[in-house]
Amino acid sequence: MLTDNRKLTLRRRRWMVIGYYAGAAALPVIGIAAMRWRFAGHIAVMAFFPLLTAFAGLLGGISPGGPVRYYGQPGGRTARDGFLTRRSLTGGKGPLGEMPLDERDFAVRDRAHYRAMRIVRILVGPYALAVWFVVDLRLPGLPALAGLGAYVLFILAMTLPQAILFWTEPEPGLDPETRANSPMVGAAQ
Amino acid sequence: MVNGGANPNGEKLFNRIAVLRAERGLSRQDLADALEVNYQTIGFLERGDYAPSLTLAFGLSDYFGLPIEAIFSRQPLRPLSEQVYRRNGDEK
Repeated sequence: MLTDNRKLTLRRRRWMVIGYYAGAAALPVIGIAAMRWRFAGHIAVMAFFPLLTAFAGLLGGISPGGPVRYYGQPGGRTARDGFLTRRSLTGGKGPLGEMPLDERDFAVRDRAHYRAMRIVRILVGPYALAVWFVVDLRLPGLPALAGLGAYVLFILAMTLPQAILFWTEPEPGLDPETRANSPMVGAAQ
Repeated sequence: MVNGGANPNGEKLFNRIAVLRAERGLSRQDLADALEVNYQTIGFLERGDYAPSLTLAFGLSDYFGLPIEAIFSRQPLRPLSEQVYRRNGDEK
């Protein structure tokens, strides 16, 4: 259960982010190798998109509200948590019905979105300009490079807010009563 | 325990939520449930890592039955005991 506060220390969250982006870097390499080896054609490309979407979802990318929080409610998850929610590194939406976002959660979420947007907009501008200027040159390998750029932007746009939240949110720090009453929260504070 | 934190404008905001909660024997979860916020938020408030909205500040005020200025201040808050005894001394 990855939203367990004992496990999601700041250090662990940061390693998670590093591991995720290492995986994101490896994914196109594996995809290209697989296509060259055996799986070619439109069907392979079509199959890649659900895989990519699911991968982006691992870091909160496809939850309706985007990234929310990294911690779970003491008492654990509910049966209403869906497939992707349970498997999301972030806990996805979490048990929203029982633990809606409060004003601080919204503030943290919005700040993470804003920081991510500032980074992504710096990347999108040059990328769009580059594609615009060089698309008529018809250089060999250009579509692949453009595709790689689009992939990087897609992954960043979908996951960067959650990654920022993981990277910057301090340890929650619980008081002894909450700690004692929670099956999810141990003495490791 | 009196804590101070900065609001989005960078102004320091001090509070005595932790003291008031401890006086009443409440856990953070109890207070969070009463105010309909997450228990983490109470911790951030107490440490001064988060400056609450007016709505939440009034909620705290209502819950503790104290004026907002008794809970929050832009100046560092003196310990409650010191304030109480000083007031008693002044009255004598």
